[in-house]
Amino acid sequence: MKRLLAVASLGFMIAAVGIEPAHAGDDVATTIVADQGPVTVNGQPVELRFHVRDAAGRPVPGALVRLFVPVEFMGETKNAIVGEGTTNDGGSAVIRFAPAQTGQVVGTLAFWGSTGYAPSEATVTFDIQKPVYAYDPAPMGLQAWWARSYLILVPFAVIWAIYLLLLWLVVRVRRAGAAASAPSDIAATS
Amino acid sequence: MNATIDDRRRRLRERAEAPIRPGAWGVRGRLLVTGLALVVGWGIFAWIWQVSHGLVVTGLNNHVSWGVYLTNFVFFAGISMAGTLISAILRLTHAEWRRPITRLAEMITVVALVLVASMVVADIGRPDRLQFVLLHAHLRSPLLWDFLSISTYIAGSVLYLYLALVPDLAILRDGGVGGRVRGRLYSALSLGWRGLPEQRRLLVRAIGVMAIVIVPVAVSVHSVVSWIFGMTLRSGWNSSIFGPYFVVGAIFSGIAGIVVVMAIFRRVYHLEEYITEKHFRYLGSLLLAAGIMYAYFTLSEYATVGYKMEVGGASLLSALLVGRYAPYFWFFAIFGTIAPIILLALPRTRTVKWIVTAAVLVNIGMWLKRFVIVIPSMALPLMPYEWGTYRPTWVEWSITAAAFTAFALLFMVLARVFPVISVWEIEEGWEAPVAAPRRLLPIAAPSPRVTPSRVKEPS
Repeated sequence: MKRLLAVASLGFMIAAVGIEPAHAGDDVATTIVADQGPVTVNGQPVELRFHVRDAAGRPVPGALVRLFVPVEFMGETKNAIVGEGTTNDGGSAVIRFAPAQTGQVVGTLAFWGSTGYAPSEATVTFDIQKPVYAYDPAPMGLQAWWARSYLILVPFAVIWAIYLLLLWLVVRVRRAGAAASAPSDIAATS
Repeated sequence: MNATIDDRRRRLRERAEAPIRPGAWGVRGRLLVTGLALVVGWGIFAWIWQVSHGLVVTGLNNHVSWGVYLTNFVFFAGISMAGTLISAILRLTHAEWRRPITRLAEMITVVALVLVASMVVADIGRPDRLQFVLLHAHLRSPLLWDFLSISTYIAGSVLYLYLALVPDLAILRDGGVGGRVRGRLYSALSLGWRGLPEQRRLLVRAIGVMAIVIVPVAVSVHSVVSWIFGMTLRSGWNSSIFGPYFVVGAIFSGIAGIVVVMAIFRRVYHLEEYITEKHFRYLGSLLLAAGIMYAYFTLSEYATVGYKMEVGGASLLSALLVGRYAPYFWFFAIFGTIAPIILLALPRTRTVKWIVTAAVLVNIGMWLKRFVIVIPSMALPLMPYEWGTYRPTWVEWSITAAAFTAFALLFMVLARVFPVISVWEIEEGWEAPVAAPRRLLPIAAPSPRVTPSRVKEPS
């Protein structure tokens, strides 16, 4: 009896290790289809619309799709996530992309799978003619009604006005000396 | 008591007037002045040569367009800043020990500012176009801000020096010192000074206002000088701390300049009774504080560049620390900053001799520091090319030598015409214990000391 139980346990363990999870084989294959071909970027962010469908062509709702593009940082090139979107009931989603580089960039839309759906990927090409800046470089300078370059003159004008005031005090010193012409008023420091 | 004060007063006036009296220079003095004038004359010849042939006779080129002229410009601007600033701050804080040294400090400012302006003229190559700064003024340009702040500072410094000179000019006028020509000058400039209460009240108010106004003006000068560099994107200059860094550097080198000039005049004009070891020790303490702050700023500046190692900054740092500019940088760091700090901090070396030694080292080191601020950042290529080269020619060295010689010559001439110590302020200091403590503030009411009876007392 013990021998029978041991053989049965061993067989069960072998079966458990050797057999794939029941759901993995049941996942439905998916595909991602971008609405546009090569996407042209000309200084403005672009919205990339795409659909996720299963093998039967039915929309896959709630699928989280990420957009990767190759970026170079500190001499290394890596794929970086630059946007993501979740499909609606119709299986479509939009990812906003504002590239900082120029030239042709091949991005990857990746769905990592979810319950009942297998992962899938699609590539999309961006033709970036002019990158998108995080902030608008033009017009230059601080745009405010009070930001005027001539205001730099104000402190100097104030200082020179004080100088003139002091010169007026100097004139008054001279006048006070001239007014005290009587010998009795003179108290020379020497 | 009165006899003692009168005796001290007489000795002080004799000592202050001695350099002004005819024949005060003597044979050695005349020889020295002649030698200095010859060097200045040679510098003027070199400048005329440069104007005639163009800046091609200098080592300046399309890579390094600012050389020793700009180095001298920043150096003299630094020296000029501390003179009036120290005088004003010591006045405002009622530091009694300031009295014998304020005049020297104020004179340093005026003389240094003359050289600041002359270095700009030397650097632009075409002095006939100088008026374009105003005719085509661009208010967004730091160069115009520099023109505005330096001209404001020159006017303020001359006014500040003059206001504090008025009572002494009256003493010279009344003493008949300096012959007929200078007698007329003293008479005209002394504003009919009689030491009247009203005159004193007005003068005290004017000096008090000026002492307050001149501080922000002085700070603005060196801040704007720093912005000429700091408002660019060049490595080594693109720094947000350049304003305070330059201001502290100016105070550091300026105090050192005051110490050196003070030591020379004390020795030459036998002013030991008035400029005492105490003055050197106090200024040494200020120099030490400024030195520590400057060392901190230097460390902060280069540590942030060195940590980030942005491409341009890394190249510049290598050139400064281990490359072609390392000898200058390390001389500044070791002999111009660390050694003076040690000399000034150790009680054993806080003597006149060592304080003056430290001040001389600081001045040499700070000139080199300005050199390594100006030149390497210009030589560093902004595009992938070779480093620029710069080797000053005889023209630049001649004009530089003339500038430093002119500093000494102008000072000698000024000291020949005006007293280098403030007689009336020293005399006022003798009476300080009975005087109102806040009388130099503009809002102060006339002190009891300046009532007619008190004013008449000295005569």
